[in-house]
Amino acid sequence: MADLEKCVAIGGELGTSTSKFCCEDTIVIFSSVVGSALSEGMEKSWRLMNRTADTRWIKNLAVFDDSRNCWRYVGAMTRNSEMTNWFTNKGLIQNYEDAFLAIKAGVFLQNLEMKERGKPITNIGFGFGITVHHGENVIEEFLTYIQNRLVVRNDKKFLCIKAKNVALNEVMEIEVELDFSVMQYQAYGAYMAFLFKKFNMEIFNTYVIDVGHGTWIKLPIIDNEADVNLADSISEGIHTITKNISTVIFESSGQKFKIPEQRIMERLPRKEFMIEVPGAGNFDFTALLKRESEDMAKHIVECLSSDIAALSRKGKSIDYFTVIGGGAHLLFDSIKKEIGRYFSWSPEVLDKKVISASEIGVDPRYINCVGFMLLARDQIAVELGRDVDQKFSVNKVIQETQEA
Amino acid sequence: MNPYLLVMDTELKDLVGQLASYHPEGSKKILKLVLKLYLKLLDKSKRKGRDPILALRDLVEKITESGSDTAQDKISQLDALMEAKTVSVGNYENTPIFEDIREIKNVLRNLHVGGVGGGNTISAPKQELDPSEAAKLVTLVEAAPVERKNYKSLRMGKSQRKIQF
Repeated sequence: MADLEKCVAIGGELGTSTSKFCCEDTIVIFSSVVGSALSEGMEKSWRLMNRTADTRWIKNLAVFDDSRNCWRYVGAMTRNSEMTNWFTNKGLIQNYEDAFLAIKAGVFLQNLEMKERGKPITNIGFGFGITVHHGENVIEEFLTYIQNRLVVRNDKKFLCIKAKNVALNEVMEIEVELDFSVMQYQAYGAYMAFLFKKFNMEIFNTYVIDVGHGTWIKLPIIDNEADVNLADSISEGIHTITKNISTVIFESSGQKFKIPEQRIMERLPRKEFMIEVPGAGNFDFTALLKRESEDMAKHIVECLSSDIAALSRKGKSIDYFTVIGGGAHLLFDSIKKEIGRYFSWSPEVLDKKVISASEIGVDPRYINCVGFMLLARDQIAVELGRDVDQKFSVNKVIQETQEA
Repeated sequence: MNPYLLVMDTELKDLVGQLASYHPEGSKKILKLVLKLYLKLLDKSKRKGRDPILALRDLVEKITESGSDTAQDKISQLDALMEAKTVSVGNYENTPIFEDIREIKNVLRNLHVGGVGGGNTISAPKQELDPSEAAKLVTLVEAAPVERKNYKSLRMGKSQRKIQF
């Protein structure tokens, strides 16, 4: 039986684009991709020719795959892989072996950070998100897969991780005891974060809209429970917007050059809305982006309005609305405006009712995994018969690209 | 469709209440007519981009003489004007609005003499309307704050879906 006093809560989210892990005040985020490794000789040549100054573990990570008995690159390091595999699609895990490697990578990187602070991780309690469509059984299967690959010693289950920094040719092995994993629907994590910090542990009905790359999720939380009947995942996301922009640019440029939608996606967080089309000129897609965002916001609020009607029939109402996920930066204002229009709220009321993750000091992209960390933290506290520590903050984000 | 609100002062509300209890069918028709006329005014003023209450006030002031201070004076003047119009221009009495007004008057007259349909004796007290007072808004009673459940009390009772490794 694990010693819960030493148990550290980790929140995990294996998203379609990125995987995120939250431990205490640190978030680790890397691309949800695993790839084949170079041979030993090729790696040696690569190190000799590698001129990059970024030798961080997250940028050059390989994890040993026991099932295949070989090294596999995880995240940014797959830039050198011959074959890559994005192991999550529309929130659903496609490949258990590679997803397991991502878990190992996340735990390893968090442990590195905690070790630097003088408190290496020895025991873990996980909090995980379940996809809305696929339900608890799917994630349970994956967690059972993990369970069967743990090393058992004196009734304790250990996750053994062998990792390599390819740039530095440094190998490290760690082992952590896994105690439990608690699960909730994706987007519930955001509600937990608001519950702990903004709602002061009082129950407020919250409607969460999680806008991702390929899908957006709606999840009403009523009386602290996810309303599964109204929860849904819709195949429309930021990719829809960038694809439409790419198509319009292609047509407008006389079909000379197709801009990959990835190039448009990269510009959005930097608020760069001009793109050069070789042989055709520069295109400013500001107006187009605005129209696409407004159209998507209208569609989202149409779905929301049906849910509001359904909830009203059950005598329930929503206290707060929130927009999270990678698409929140682009769509928060448009969706907020549409919600205001639907309810005919004044600006003051709208500001109170539609809340942003930034109000509690968390980026909307990470708020879910923060909330799952709080879920695991709460479970530890419950089992120890204690009050849960409500305080949290995000002070460090470890990601593949270094901030300038 | 947006909801429309009709604000009545206390005395008009009492009158409508009495009408409703003594003559339900008639009161319904009267209310319908009043609402119809009000909605026509509302639509017209919206099209012209004006506040309907102000539009009504301006309309009344345009056609009544200055110096008629009380609402009762204005009503009397309007009555007189309507009678004059009915006499002088024959076609006007066939307009829908005149028909509506005639209908209201007939109902009121019938109520006054003792009721409609079966000789019910209605001894409704005479109401002297004095709409010079501004309509009083209903006093709102602040609702007691909603008692919120606390997560700390819920969490001990129900455990999360958990897998023990």
